[in-house]
Amino acid sequence: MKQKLWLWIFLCSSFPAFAQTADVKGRLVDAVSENPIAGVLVILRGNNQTTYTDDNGQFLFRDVDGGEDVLVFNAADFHSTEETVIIPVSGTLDRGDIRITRRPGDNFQLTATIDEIQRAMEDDDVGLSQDVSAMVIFSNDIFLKNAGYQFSQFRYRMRGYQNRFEERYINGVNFNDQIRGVFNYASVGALNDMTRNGDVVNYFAPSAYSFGSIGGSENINMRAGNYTRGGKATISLTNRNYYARAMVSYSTGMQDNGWAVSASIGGRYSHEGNIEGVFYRNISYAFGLEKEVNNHRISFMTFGSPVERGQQGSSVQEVYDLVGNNLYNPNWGYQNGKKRNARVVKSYDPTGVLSHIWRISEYTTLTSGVGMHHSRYGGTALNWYNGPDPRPDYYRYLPSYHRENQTAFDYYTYLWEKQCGKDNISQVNWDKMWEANHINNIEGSGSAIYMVEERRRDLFEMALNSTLNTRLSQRVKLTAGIGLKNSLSKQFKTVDDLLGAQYLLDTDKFAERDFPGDEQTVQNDLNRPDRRVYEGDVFGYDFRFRVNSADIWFQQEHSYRYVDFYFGSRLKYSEFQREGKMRNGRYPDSSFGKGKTHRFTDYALKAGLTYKISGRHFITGNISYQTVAPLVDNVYISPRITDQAPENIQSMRVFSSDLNYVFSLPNLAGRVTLFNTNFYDDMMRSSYYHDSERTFVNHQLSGVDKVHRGVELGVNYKLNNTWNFDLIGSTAEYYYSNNPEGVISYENGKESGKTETVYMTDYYLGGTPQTMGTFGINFFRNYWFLNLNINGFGRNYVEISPLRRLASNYIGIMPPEAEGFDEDLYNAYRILTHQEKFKGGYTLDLGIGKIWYLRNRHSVNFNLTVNNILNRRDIRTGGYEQGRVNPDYPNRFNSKYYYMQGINCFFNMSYRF
Amino acid sequence: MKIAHYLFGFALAIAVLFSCERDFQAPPLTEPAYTGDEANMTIAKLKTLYANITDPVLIDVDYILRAIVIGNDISGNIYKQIYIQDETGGINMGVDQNSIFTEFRVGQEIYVRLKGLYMVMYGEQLQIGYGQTNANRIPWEIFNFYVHKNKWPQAKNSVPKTIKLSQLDQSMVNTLVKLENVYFVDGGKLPFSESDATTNRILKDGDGNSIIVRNSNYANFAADILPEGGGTLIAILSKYRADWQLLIRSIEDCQQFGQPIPGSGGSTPADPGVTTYYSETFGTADVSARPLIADYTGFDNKNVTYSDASGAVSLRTTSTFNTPHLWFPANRDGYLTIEGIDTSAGADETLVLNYELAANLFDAGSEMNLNAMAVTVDGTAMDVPSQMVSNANGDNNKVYAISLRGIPAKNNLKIEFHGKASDNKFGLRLDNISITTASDDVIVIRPK
Repeated sequence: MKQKLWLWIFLCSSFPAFAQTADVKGRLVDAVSENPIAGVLVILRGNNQTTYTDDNGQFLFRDVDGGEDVLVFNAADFHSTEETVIIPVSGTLDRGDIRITRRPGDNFQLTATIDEIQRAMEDDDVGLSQDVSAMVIFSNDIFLKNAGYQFSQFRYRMRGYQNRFEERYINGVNFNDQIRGVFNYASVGALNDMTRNGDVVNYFAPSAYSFGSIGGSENINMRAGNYTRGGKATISLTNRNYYARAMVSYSTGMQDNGWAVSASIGGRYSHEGNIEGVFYRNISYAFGLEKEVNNHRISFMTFGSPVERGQQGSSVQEVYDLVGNNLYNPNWGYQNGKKRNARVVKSYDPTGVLSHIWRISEYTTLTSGVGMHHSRYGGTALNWYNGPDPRPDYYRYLPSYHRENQTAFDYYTYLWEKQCGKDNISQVNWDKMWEANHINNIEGSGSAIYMVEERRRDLFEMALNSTLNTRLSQRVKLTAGIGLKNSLSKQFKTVDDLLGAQYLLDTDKFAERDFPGDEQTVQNDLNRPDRRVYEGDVFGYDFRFRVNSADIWFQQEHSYRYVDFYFGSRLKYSEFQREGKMRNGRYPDSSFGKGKTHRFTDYALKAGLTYKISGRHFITGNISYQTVAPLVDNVYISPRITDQAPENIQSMRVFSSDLNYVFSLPNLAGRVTLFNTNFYDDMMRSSYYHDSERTFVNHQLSGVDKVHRGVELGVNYKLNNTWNFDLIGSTAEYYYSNNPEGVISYENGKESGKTETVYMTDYYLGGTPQTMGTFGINFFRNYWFLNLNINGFGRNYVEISPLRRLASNYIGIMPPEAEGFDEDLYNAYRILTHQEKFKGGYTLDLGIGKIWYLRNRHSVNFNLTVNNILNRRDIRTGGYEQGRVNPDYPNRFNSKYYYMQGINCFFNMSYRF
Repeated sequence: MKIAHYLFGFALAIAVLFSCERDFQAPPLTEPAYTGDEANMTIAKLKTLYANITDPVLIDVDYILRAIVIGNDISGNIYKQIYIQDETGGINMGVDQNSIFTEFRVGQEIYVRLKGLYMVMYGEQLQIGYGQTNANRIPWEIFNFYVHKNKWPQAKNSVPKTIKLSQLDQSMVNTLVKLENVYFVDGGKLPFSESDATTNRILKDGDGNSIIVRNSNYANFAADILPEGGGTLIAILSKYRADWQLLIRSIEDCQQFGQPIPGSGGSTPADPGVTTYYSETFGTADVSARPLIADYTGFDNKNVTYSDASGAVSLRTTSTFNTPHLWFPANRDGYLTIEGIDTSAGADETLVLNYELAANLFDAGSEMNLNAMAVTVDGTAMDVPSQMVSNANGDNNKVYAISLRGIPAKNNLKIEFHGKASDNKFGLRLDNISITTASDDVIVIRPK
């Protein structure tokens, strides 16, 4: 039925097919070395056509309308260039060699001020992640390309969307995982030369390789034949989590025998980075092969970037003030005189992509790919059994907890401020933990009181995507595809270090207190009760998520002289299931074995229209509606130990629209946009450790509605070839728009399935500035580059804790006019329900670079970027409220914050051969 | 080819860089050794020196104690306390920390530098604590500053003294004792503790002497059934006011039970002293949300009903009252109605109703009469004693114990407390309600 409809639309809209038209071709070369440049996005703006230069730098547009048009070239390490062309009514316009100017530096997108690992600031204990928008590929949109780099240091997220709405493809295969919905940027860490080129789709615009997503899509092109012949060696020095980076890459280009080979190797290192206790050890490799036979190109690419690194933690302001350092890291301490970080991440993601491009005809291409990805991800953490909390910034160890006794308050302040010596309490005390375990060996059970565990989240994923690109007529393009994906997530924890203890008894420390004497309930695995575990053993929890999905989609684009439009649709089926490998004592009937399979059928519709006022002024509008299945990670009330989930799980619905004015005058180009996106029925889960109940509390929300709306502006003014100026900014509001239902459950089993309304209406989404802008001054002469940016940011809010927005927390608290009004309690209520807004401000960034061309056409380039040159250390980039509530002490469980690093330098030197 | 060489060299360099696993050496375990001045004080002498204090008193002399840890929080039965003992006696120290046992095991020798700590009187017994803190507990790092471990712990350092229930004397308070040939009255029937509140169980010897064994519902053995038959119990002998109590440190303190019950040959049990027919302490639940009576489930007694017609009375804790009590707000009528008390077993005895009251005289100049809390027993208004209390006299939140005679022995007794809006000017706190047999010296009202 639907097929017939399509056909009808094609027939009506595609006349007259293949009328008189012309071709446009050219070759892109480096302005000095005259080497061809491959992989550059070329846009013929008036005709709404895009293509890429091949490894010989050549590009070709077929069957385009005659008249005046604008050619745009866009690539990461070149100055984007535009030129006006007059296309004849028929025949071929050959532009010959077009010289474009290389700019120094690296793939800016991935070496932006925070590296890919800091993008995901995750706190396992809280279940919150504050991801940042990360762009690998350089966008052709003036707003996005600046925002992607310049704003990332402020943890800016495009339009406030979650990262799961940003799709990432490699060689046409989707690489957003199905568990958390995000792309793992760490898997391509230190592979910058290989991830340079690709295809960006801004927001939900039509794309050549996917149906797209409201947060935009990128297809990283890592085919060996896509890289120009030559090599590059890079050395970088920085004062971030690592201080040194080195990379070497070499590609053969597509050779006469039809083979192309490409390889890269690199690494990053620090024994201790800018933040105390954080170290970094990473190597990366990539190897690709491509073979061209007639109309087929088959390529294989494999890469990986194993890393071992110490993590930074967040803390409360009291602690930052005590130690006088907003980058204080509570995770490390001295063990036997050496710094040891309790939270170490070890991850390794070997990936392989096999892809096939079949040029069926001049106008039809079929791109198919299979991707395989195995991720070993583990993060260590301290665990303790019937011992005092070993975390130095636990609230009872802070001066404020002892406020009622001045001597104690002063003494704790003194111990915190001295920060050294034997009785220093500002860091983890490893020696004391070893001693407690030792004493327990002599006079106790020998089971570990303190230990280090590694929480594993391994993933094995296979994906298949196949996309057909064809032209139905000169004016109509059709893109259609299918996708299949299978994921297996293994989540469990292992004993990493017993710290001298003899063994660990695998029971739940939290349940022990609440179910005294109950030998069943406290067991983590009733199938193997009272098991003693040793280093390397799996304990605590062990389960699998299996997720499968299949989708089919199409989109069709029409271009006419004054109007372009597109429409598309996608149908997606997905299912997931949990399988427990342990029979948990709190949930003996719902923890072990395969659980219920949850199934979802989702659809999406989108359409857009461009009205061309002239070749230089466009009005565009986009609209879309879709349903999106919930992520498996957000559905279960306590996935580690039970299959239980809310009864009516449903797909979220997303309605999104925007209206844009795009202009491109010879000296002035830019875009102004109004956007509005509504999310309905989202699901989320937050967790916190309740120390008086001694358990993790999970709070699972469903039916969450959100609104994201605002304005975006991006303008570039070119004074002359030496000077140009950027003005980029967005102001918006991202907020919760209803009061969803939340389910509370304690992991110790004491409380399970308590449902209560969460009052979230009109609270803002936290963790990203809702107003953000930058003004940039750029200078270029003689291959010297200089740029200066002034960034302004504001309206960044703390991430709210839904647990603080329950009416049951505040029973008995009266408003001022009521009988029984208690001012202290009422103030506590106000403090606990208030959402903090962080201070806004501005920062200054400076960049300088130079390229020298050598006689042998090789080149050397260097660049230095200095972010936050005013060295401001008081800029809060994020934070979250703690879940625990005590109206008698409203300031006891304060929010935890992340701060921006002070002055932040990145020096890069590379040699291109 | 040259490039391949470079690449190889680079790969090698990286491999070397990463091949050294980041492995930590275990820190050396140094046996703790105290190097300060020798002990110059004993526990018995310390108790004599501070025998007459009421409020916490700062110790301002360089006294040093040497003692052995005899009890800690290993099972959760003891909470935020350690018990220490030397040749002369025993005493407890309040410490604001959980899981103290991980560092202070039974048998650990310690030196306590007393200057700077406080002597605290609690339940008419002395303990070592701190001033102006929650429950006079010593903040953890301050405790670490004053208390020093010497040597590794050795369980054999703490040997219980075998005693008889008929021979308890004041010098034994807070020492480790061993009772042989004793049995639990409810052995084999009831758990050590009810699940929602600290519970007293009775231990008897063959001569009919009895003593309370006080068990926390947070102890890891709380749900275990009391051992049946006769056996040996090791415990810390403590005292609260005039009541002797035993504190079990862990379930291993119950030894060789299952023997024949001693004294079951026929001798009649001796007079148990005061018998309690009803007792309500309002439990130990978390009341930070300040639940109303209707919403609260942590009452000690499950077979009587508690209600409040006004809806004004809530459960609270404060830094002085650290277990739940009832709060009757000022200038409002508030009720506590208790129905279904069974005192019929006390038919041949004189019964008294005991309760504790404190007025919230926070502001200077505030004063009121404690008879603002009226009591009705089975519909009969009781004659409550008049007692003016004022901020000026230091009565702010001072606890008064009140005992009313003439309580009928019957089933389904109803008692009602009524905080009168007209007289309750500043708010009243009500706690620890009990119905007991009258001892000879019932005092109608006295400060606690």
